Amino acid sequence: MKTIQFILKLFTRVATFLIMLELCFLIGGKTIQWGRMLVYQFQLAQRQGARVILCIGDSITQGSPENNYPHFLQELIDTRLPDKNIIIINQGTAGHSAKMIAAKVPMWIDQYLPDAVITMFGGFDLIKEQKAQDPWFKKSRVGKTIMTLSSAIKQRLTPQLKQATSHPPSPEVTNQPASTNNQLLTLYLQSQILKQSGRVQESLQLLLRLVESQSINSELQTKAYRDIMDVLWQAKQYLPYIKYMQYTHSYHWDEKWMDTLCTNPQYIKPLLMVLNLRAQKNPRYPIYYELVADCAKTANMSAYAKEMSLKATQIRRKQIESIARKHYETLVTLLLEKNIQPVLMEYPLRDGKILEEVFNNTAYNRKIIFVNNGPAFIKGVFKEGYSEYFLDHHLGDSGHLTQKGNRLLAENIFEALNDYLK
Amino acid sequence: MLFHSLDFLIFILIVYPLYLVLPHKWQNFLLLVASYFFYGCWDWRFLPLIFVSTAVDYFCGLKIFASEHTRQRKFFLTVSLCSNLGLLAIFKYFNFFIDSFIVMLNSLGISAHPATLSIILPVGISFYTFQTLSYTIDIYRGELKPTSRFLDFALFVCFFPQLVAGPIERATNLLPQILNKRIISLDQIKQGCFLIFWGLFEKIFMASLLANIADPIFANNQSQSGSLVLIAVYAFAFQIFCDFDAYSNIARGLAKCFGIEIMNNFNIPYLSRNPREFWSRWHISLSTWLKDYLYIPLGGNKAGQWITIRNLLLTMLLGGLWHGAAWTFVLWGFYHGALLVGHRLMKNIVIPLPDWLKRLSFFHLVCLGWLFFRARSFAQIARMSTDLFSNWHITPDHGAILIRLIAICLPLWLIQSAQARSNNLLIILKLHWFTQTAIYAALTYLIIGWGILKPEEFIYFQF
Repeated sequence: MKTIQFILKLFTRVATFLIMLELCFLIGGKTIQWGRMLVYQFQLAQRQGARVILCIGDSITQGSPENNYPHFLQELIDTRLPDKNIIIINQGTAGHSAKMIAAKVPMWIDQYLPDAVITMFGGFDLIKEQKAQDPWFKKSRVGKTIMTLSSAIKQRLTPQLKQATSHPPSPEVTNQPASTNNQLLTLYLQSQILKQSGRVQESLQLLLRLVESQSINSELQTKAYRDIMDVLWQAKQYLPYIKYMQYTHSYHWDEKWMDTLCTNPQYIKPLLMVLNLRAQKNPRYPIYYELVADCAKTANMSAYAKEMSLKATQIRRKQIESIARKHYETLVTLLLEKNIQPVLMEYPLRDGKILEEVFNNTAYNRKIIFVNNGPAFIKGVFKEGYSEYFLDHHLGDSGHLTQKGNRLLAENIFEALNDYLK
Repeated sequence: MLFHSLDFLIFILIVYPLYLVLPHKWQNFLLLVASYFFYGCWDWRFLPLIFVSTAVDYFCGLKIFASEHTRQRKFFLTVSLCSNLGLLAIFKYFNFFIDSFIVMLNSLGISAHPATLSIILPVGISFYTFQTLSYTIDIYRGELKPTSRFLDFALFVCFFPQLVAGPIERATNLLPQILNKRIISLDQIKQGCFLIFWGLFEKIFMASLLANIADPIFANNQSQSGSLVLIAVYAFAFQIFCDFDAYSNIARGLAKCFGIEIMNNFNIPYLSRNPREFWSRWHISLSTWLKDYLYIPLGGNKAGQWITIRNLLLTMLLGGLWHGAAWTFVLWGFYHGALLVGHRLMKNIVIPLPDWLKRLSFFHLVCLGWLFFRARSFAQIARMSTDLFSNWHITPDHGAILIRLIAICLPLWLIQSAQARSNNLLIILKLHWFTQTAIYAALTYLIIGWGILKPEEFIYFQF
């Protein structure tokens, strides 16, 4: 009897806890929305009769309080067009897919009465689509927890496994891998000092030792890899450079990168192999195929380039189509009905032209403003490196933006909206 | 291995069920092995250091107790003191003193070349050294009988919940609990779980979010607005409290689940009205340690005004230095010593202020201390203090940061005012179960929805 009572008591409490937790999330969300409205009312009171531009999207739009593109766009407009009275509102909501956003847009329109809406979404639809292919076990909460735990345990128990599969052996390195955080940091700093004083080879040795360490954190590893690529590039050791491209996202993008590597018959074969391998490993991210295509084009292998380029476009088109048919169209129809200017764009680093093509034959194509972020970002990333513009690889081919990235995005939008704003 | 990491969860999921099924003798052995493993995860190379410390104090404790002559007893106490403080001096203060010496020589015009060793600070050395010292000193004073069970004594030194950042337990309290059979009550588990949960909240939600406010402002090398500096100092005041209180709470909570009661380390310190009260509420285990083993042996407050002042200043200076080998910590210690001296001198003057105003003004004095404590150099202290008192220009952004700061501190304020009103730190457990569940749910929401789970160390690990 007592046991039953105990179980009943426990059950009620756990159930109450879960219900209350759900309630807290609901209240929390409402409070944030309410806070945003409050700020908006305050802005409206300050700038009476202002035009309102609403930015909707996911966490890439939302950003952090001082680092998001609507914030910088507002800054740009205020400094360059001081006589225009415009309020930019950031309604980016972390974790929202196109479906969720499309459902909420009518509500936001009623709240803010915007004159234009800038959209950048779809990332979570791709992620969800990917996850839908997972077996049911992986999808359940319990399954997820177990998977995370087991992979973490596996990683901790077999660090050598990770090392053996993901890093090339480097016979030069004879020292024991460094272990503690302090040591790793010291190693890194030493490598920096050596690099600056021109002792590049020694610096490289240290960096190689560093990335081999089992306890290195991903942030430092990224930095170290970047430096390795940097040093190899400067030392013109292109073959090892190509070899290391397999293990890191952070290439040393040089302006002459394509010319140097893709036109040299000695390098083109391994390079294309590595690039292709990466593209196959990341089938959801067409940018990798685009890279192969660009390289092949530079190497005068136009047939191969065309094939790869087509592959990339196909992936992109399919990805947009799967969202466009349902959500872009409802959204655009709704906005145009209410006489609101739709401004559509793709995530940075993606070619915006394909989005434009999707709307090519529709009646309202001309009424939409398209912002193409691809060229500007690709140029920037090629020149200065991915991590200058992005904080992570959230969507694979682009992620959350750094201040520099958000400024570039704002600049890009400003350019595209120039006529509309005037 | 951090308390808020997956590694620790796995560790405790293995250790705890085993602990529950084993008999007492094996329980202690399990805890000892687990503790050494826990410490080894930080850095296995420092395990011998703990072991040496343990062995020396075990041996000295027995010898002091067995010796009949005062000289012999003194000799063994000195051995214990020298070996413990010696290790501490080498591993914590060697570089500091050499550096300072060289700076001094250079300023006198003598050129000297730095010959510092690259010594890494072993985690928790300040904490366990003080803990074992209390054992030998207490035996010397005749307040404690030494134990002959070496393994149990080793467990006393390295009991993992409080090994790396305290509370600095006394042998008189912890050792008997280790030696005797423990019975774990349901209440203990409930309290333990609450303390662990509250500690995780303080760390993952409060301390990390507050760090996000304070860190960029303290990292800025240029002159900045006084209002920003003030916000950063407030944020750091709560950050360091939450960070340290979090560790102490989790340590106490874990120990309770193992059936062991550890002393309370914080008692709502920011409600203090004067420095004396503050030091009886803040880091209680350290301040009582310093009082019992430093302040009172120096003569305490029984030997006249000037001696008392000297003792207060000396104790607080060493207390400051205990936090780390840097002159900013010494300044911080001196500042608190001066506050204590000032309070003692004004003992007879009655200040006709309401309690809340006393609390508020003393809180600001403490905050000024935190500015010294957090700054990395004297230049930074000078710059930030100048900004604080002269360079005020307020922008709407500052208001937004202030609102964020207040919003983050709100849950702490709510819980602590309930604790203060009832004078019971575990008041939450006395509430109706429905209210309790609501509080747990709200805090869980804040942790999941807003907390930052970074593998970031607790601030007090470095001391």
